[in-house]
Amino acid sequence: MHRVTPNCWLNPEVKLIQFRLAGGCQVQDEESLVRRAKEHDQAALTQIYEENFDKIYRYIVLKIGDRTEAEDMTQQVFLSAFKSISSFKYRKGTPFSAWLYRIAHNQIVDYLRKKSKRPTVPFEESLASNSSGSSDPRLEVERDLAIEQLASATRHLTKSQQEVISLRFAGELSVAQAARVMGKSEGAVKALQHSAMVSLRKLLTAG
Amino acid sequence: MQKEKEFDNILDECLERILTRGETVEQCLASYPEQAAELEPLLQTALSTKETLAIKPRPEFRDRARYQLRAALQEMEEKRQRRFAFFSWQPQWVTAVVAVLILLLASSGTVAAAGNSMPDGTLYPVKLATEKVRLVLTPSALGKAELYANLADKRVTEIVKMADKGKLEQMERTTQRLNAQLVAMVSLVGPPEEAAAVLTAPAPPAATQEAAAPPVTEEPPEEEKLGVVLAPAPPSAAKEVPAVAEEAQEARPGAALAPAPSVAKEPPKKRDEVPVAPVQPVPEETPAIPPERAEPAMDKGKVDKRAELMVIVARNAVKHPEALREVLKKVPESARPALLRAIADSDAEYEKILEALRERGKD
Repeated sequence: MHRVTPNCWLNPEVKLIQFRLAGGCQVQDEESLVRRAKEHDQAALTQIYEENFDKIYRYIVLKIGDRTEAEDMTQQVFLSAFKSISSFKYRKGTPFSAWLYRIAHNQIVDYLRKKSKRPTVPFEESLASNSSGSSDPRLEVERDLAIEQLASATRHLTKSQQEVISLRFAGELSVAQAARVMGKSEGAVKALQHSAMVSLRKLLTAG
Repeated sequence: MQKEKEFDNILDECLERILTRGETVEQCLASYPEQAAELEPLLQTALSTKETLAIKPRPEFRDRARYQLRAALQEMEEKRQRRFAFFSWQPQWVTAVVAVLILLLASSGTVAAAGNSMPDGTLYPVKLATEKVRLVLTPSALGKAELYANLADKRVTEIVKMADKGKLEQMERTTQRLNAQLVAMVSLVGPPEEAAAVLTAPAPPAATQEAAAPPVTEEPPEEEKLGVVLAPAPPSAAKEVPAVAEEAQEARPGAALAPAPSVAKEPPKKRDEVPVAPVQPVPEETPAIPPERAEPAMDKGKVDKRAELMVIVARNAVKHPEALREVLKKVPESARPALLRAIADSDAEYEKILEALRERGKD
């Protein structure tokens, strides 16, 4: 009996039934994964979801500073993406996650716009709602404070600097990938990264 | 300017080393002693940013989110099916009327011209629709299986053509279509009750969908998607096991190939309950017409049909993987996985078809 390995597509001996039993192989390249997702292949959609969920979540947390709200927004990003995945056009060299970050970005803009019209919730209240379910509430509150401080500092950066920091640190994208997402050259992204780190350092030490 | 660019590069390299490869700030500073004073505070900031962002959504939220997403996907899939599944929700007579209409159209030049069209041609959806009609109008399981064998032959020709033209997307879709048709063939020549269920089933929703939208592949085992893969687990059952693994657990071979539950409810048609006349097992390589026994005329006809089908399948089983392997030599690396899968699938499916035919011969 053949064992289904991650690169089983390369093994012509692997039988179809075994392939199905294993829930399909890991897709070789992103283009093929996206093509399958566009055809509503559940395994491909699941793979996209599992690979990107935490990164999108961190990206949103960094931008809004609210973990609970970020959870719901992350879920919305994937729902919106999967609903309209048929219309997605794959561009070679641009990671699929670029599209997810764009959707997330739009939702963040929308959220911040609505939030600015609502009466503000005291930060302590927002902490209380964030730090549920933790084994050590004190650590959770400290973590939330650090996140809020970081998110607040990043908001003082320029839009491009914010995007570089979010994509590099929360999204874990490489400079090359971040450059594709932002439509800039790698050199420009490196320069933005440098200036963003300098500003962030100043803001965090001053705060 | 040059110096700044150089520093940007050094900073980026150090960030990569610290954030991705897990090196320490000190290790990086040691590599660039001249820039250490400037680098150090930035790298410390980067490190603390990384640590602050080392967060994950709460596990209970992840479970809930996964469940909700599955439910939403299922709903989307059902909507999609409803939109396209003309044949599945229309009364049986509507299917027949549409079939007749398409048959009438077959006399027109469009359908005739579509017969030779390739997956990159505008008339290809017409070709696929015509094939579907032919399948609907073929009553017996063996007849359908024979038709599928011929269609598989066409699919292989199309794959070769598409590979020659360098149209890899169409090639890959056609390999998926080939695979689906082989799976359908296995269902038809499998145990009589399974074949009967396939026969009494309405045409799969993919049939109309395919005609309307060429990129969507023909997928006879739709029930695998809806019944097995998409079924959302209740929140309590949603554990940390990745969804793919859950699918793997649930997707038993029976579930993958079994007909949809609604189909299974219908009793098998009388004519399909007639057992195929007993014959000697036929070797795969040299399928011969089995020796005759004293049988009713109808059964004899079925035996001949089965033997005929075995000859076609045995020929295809050799010819198709061979043709696909030839294509493999011409295509770029990116197209190889799909082709290799098609080769593996056709090997496996033909083997199963031949075995099923032999088994039916023993009944």
